[in-house]
Amino acid sequence: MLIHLDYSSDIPIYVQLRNEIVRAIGSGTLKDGESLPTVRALANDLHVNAMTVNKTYAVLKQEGFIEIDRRHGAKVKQQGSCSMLYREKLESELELLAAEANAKGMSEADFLKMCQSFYTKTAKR
Amino acid sequence: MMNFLFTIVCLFINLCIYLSMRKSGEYRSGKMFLVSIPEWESRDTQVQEINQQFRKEFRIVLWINTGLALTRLILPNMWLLLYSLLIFVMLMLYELPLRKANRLMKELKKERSWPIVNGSQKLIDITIAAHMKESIVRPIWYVIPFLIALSAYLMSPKRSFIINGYLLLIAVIPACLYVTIRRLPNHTYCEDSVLNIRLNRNRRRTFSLVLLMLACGDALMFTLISVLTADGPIWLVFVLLFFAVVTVLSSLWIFYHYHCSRQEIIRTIKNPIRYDDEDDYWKYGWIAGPCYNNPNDPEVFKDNGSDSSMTLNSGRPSVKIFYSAVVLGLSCLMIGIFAYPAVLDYQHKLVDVSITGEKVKIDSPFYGKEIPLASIQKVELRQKLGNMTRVGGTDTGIYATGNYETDAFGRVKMYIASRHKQFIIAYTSDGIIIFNDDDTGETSKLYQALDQLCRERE
Repeated sequence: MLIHLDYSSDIPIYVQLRNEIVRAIGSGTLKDGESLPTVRALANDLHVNAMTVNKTYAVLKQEGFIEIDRRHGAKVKQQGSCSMLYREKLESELELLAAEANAKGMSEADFLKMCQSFYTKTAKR
Repeated sequence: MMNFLFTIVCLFINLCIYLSMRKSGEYRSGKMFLVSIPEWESRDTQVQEINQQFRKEFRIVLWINTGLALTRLILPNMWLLLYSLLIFVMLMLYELPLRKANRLMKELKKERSWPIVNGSQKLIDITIAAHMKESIVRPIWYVIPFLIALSAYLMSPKRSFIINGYLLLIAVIPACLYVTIRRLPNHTYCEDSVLNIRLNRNRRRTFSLVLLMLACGDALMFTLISVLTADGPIWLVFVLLFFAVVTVLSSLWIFYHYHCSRQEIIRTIKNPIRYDDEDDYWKYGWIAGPCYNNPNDPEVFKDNGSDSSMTLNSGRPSVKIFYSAVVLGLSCLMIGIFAYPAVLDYQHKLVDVSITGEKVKIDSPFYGKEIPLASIQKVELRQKLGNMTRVGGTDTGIYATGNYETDAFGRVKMYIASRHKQFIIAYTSDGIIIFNDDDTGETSKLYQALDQLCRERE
């Protein structure tokens, strides 16, 4: 599984890494129950501090994408139905995106088409 | 004889450098002469002309350096320091055609607007790490070189600090290198995880095997020297030599096999991922080959297109610390070996020789000896010692100690301050011992006292 990082970007590395892992889970590249690399191994391969990878895993765990076991390390968590908490978070983010699109002059149809195309590209779980 | 050997070594090094660097013009890892170049452009006429010009100039440098290496034979009295500087000049000459080719390629790149890729973006295959656990030699095998060195330690009649130090080094250095190999970052060659895993496993396995072979070879050579020093059986010497040669040849074969299999696998990759770093950060140093300095690139070890080496990213703080430690270590060594003794010598504090009780005591921060007066049969005072060859010991130019083979006296033990030309030759029951004080006046007085004692005994 390939991940893409830009070390000169303004986006922190741990956020980029988090986004890449979420994309991989969403597209089915990382399946339910699949193990993620250890913190040290991933930090070594990415040439970043282990704390950065630790932070990424902590964020992913908090968001419910992975679970961390002391013996087995980090694994992709089996996703159940969409939780209420996540729905609320998504609603607020989509509201902002919709407002931005509208402010920039994008039509409703174009906006919905774009959302649908991205969702379709991501492999069905 | 020494001049001849020295020249042979220089010629050999010259040839090795030529053979290893002449392939810099080959298209490897998306680069030629450290400049990123599209694959179809590598066959372009102008690019090939730069390559051919480079090869021609490189051959000329080979012949110039061969001539420079032979000066030792033509001028045998040339100062060793001057000859060492000449070796640096030889290395610098090799860099000239490389720097020229690098500059011409960069100009061509600018002229033709070849793609400039930002080196701070990376694609990393994170599935590799999970498959690397079983890829290297088990640590238990690294006990073998230690056991070989231990046998040398037990065999030695005299446990000097050199033997003790070597035993420590043979334990520590392979362990440190083993940990480094274990922690080598994985390299993503393409989008196929299977190939990435195979290439990385091969790399780690090869490095760990070669480390084991070289550690064993080194320990075997050390044991061989210990056997020779202890006048051990000759058959053992040949056995040890045989196995040492076997380990070296095995290392070469393992590395060659790795190179071939790596090239074979890489050839099958249709869309290789190129770690195209900004070419401005790559250059040829004056004697160090390819150099890379990019503080924004997080990688410490950079692929320079060669299978057998990597380049350190000197923009990283850890590499700067490493270089500083090396320079500091070498400086301390030079100061300890040359500068400090020279200062002591200048202050006449290098050595103090005196008659204390029934012994002659030679006392220096760097060497020491006590010679029983009863064992001294005769003494002479000389200002020149003639031709001599060091068999074992130290000669820094400030002081000389150890076993020497001299034309005038045969095999002697030496404890001298080299720059003070008054030497006492003592004929003892243990052989001939040559020593002096760092004050010629004191040496003369000492000689007179010893000579008087010897006459009285007669």
